[in-house]
Amino acid sequence: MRRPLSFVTLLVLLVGYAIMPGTASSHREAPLIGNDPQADNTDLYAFVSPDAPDTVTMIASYIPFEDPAGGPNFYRFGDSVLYEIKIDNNGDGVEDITYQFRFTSQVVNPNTFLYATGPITALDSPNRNMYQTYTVTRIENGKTVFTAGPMRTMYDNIGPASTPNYGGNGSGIYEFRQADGLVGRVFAGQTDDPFFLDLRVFDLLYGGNLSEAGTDSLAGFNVHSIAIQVPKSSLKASSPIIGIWATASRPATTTRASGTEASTGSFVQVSRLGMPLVNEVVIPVGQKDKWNGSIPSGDGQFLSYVTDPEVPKLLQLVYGIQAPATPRNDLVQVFLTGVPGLNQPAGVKASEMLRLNTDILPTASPARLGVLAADIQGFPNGRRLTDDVIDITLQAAVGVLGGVKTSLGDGVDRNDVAFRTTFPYLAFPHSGGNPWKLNPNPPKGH
Amino acid sequence: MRRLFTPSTIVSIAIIAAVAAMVAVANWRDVRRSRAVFSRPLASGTRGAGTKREDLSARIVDVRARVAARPDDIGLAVTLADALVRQTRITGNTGLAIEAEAALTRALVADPGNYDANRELGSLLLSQHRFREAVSAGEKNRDARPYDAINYGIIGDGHLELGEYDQAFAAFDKMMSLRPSAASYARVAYARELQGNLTGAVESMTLAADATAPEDAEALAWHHAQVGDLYLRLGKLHEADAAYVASSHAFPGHPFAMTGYARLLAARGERSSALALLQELAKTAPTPDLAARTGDLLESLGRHDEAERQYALAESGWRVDAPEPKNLARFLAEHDRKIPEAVAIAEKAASERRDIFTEDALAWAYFKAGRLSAAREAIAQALRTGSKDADIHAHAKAIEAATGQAAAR
Repeated sequence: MRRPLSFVTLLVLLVGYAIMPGTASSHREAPLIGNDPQADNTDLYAFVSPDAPDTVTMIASYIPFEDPAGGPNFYRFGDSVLYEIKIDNNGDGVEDITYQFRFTSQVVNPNTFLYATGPITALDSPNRNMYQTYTVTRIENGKTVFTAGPMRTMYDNIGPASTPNYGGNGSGIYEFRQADGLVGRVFAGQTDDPFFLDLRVFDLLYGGNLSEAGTDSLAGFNVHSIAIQVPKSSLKASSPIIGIWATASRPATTTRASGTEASTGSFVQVSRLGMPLVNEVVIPVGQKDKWNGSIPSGDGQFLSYVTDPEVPKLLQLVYGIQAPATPRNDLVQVFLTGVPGLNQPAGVKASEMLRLNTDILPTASPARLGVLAADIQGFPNGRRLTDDVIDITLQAAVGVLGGVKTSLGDGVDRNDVAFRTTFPYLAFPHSGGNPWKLNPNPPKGH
Repeated sequence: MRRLFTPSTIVSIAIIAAVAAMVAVANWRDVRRSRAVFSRPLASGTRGAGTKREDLSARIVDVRARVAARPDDIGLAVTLADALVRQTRITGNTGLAIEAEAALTRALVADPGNYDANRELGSLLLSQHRFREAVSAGEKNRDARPYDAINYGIIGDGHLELGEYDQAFAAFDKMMSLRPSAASYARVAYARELQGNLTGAVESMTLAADATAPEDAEALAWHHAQVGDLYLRLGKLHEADAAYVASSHAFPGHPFAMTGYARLLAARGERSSALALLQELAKTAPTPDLAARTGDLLESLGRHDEAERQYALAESGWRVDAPEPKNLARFLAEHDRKIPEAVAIAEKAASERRDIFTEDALAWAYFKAGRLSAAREAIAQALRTGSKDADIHAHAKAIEAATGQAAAR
């Protein structure tokens, strides 16, 4: 029997999809608490290039704990993130030069989520289904002086089937000519995580096992890194000492955008990194959000966390170890001003950044304890990949710069894989075809 | 071989412990947290706390057992509550929020000032539609940590659901100025949508998807599904399709993606396929809303008796859905069932919150009850933000037409 068209059916014919009620039935409950690995700057390095001593190499890494076999949502730089490396070359705490990096995701075949549709044997292989292009822009005192690109990121190390002979089919290194006519080099893409430490130093009070200290918590993990190498002469001003920090920013949107216009406001800084461990160890938990949005020239507000640090006081309170007298001007030099005669610019304004004296030439055999081992090319004069910043910072905290003798450390002295000897120096990313890498804390010996 | 406890190792361990102690003590100093040795809270979607369906279920089973053994461990309670809030979204099981609250409340007894637990409680109050309490909790947490953008999200969500849009939008803008993130982009997108700016909403929701961690599969799926819904409203079916596919790729069978895709299929005239999809979803996440949608599809296919069964299911479901009485009111009015009761329920709901959807339910109940001037008043309120919501506009049109007819008589 044929039923007459009901009211609802008529409505369907007339307005289509709108018939299903209840689209506004419940409130949205958008996810609230999450993290933002694409804008999470894990480490910053800056050093005079060992094989090209008239240049400086700067490296910033993002996306912590990349599981090498992390498909199907493979890691990439944020398309909407503004990545910046900033340089202060006169010690006033304000950037004079900025390198900006902007990424754009590209898809060859939008009908598949596969990263590779066949073996990738070149950066521009048609089998590389998802890739990113990027540009490098240099800004001097607020003015753009050039933009280079688009270039392609180095592809991820998926495994021997998708990315055979990794590293042998294109390096991902590009040269670019600056406005001053000098040539720079740049790399962006997946690499091994160059940092090495036992992360449990931050976790022990929550139930960690102290007897296991000495394992590199980051062994086997990858990150995404941006590396740039430019002639010293295009970075420094009258002083050879430059201050370097990296930021990540996201564009703000506003609720009141009128009409149908999409409006995106200015960029808001969501991460900041100069010296290692500052956010983890120096800045208290309740101040971290404030710190990530702050700028070096305003660092006076955080000064007391450096001059009057908790660590030595706790040592004295809990373990009876004598704390050095405060204020800790030795730590102010390490974290905020640079050390006089080494990497402190004249008339420096106390502000947290990595300070590098570009006149100090590379040492043939770098010492892992850097300046503490009389190797003045190393940390805290800039930071090389091999510098053991955990041990150096722990030793500085108990007053080694004031003459205290100590051999403190976390038991992890070097990276799990060897660094390369040429730009970008970072080790190749761990392959997704390596099953033990899935273990976040692999046993010692690997 | 290295000896385990040389004097230098002991000093090292002492230093290492002190570094960790500093972090904990700084936290304690801020909010007077307990000195007891507790677990660190693990938010869903962060490392080690994936939000794929199987990850969430496994974590809940595991942490539930640990909470039972250590009910005073506040970190564990926060971890459990956070996972349960996520699970609520993909199962529609609102009872989980009650379990989460119980765990948090128990743990907070020993340490009432714990920041992480109080912040989690704020988001849980939202989940339970206790919006006024959520605003208060958010304000208290904001005073403790004024730079934590999350608190403004809780405050804004609460105001928004209460219909206090100016305060809500101000909170979202503040949240954004502190930290653009997936959470703040999604909220700005919804604010734009409520004001009728769908293009701007797509822009901000797309940024939310882009800013979501790949480990947070559930949130990724949620954001993509929202992008799909917005494209659907704009009539861009191709783009909507791609967004729902991306959502399903991140989290197979996410209820928001499946419901949205069913709407897309219906819009293309593929109503049988849409029905099959909703029936599939009913196996994992049955809700009154889903039953009502299924009923409407069945009705449109001429399967009247089956539709009626779904409507009965929806009605009985919504009768016990205490947090959202307006849904029942709206459903009753929409389907011409028990109109006096619909009016009473909607009036009660509107005495507690004046958001545009409650106003719309009230307007439609009045309309069906023949109370035209009250309906006009309420629908004007429902239209006040400039939303382009198709249902609100359909109701407004009907009320306007009836008003015209009444005037002509």
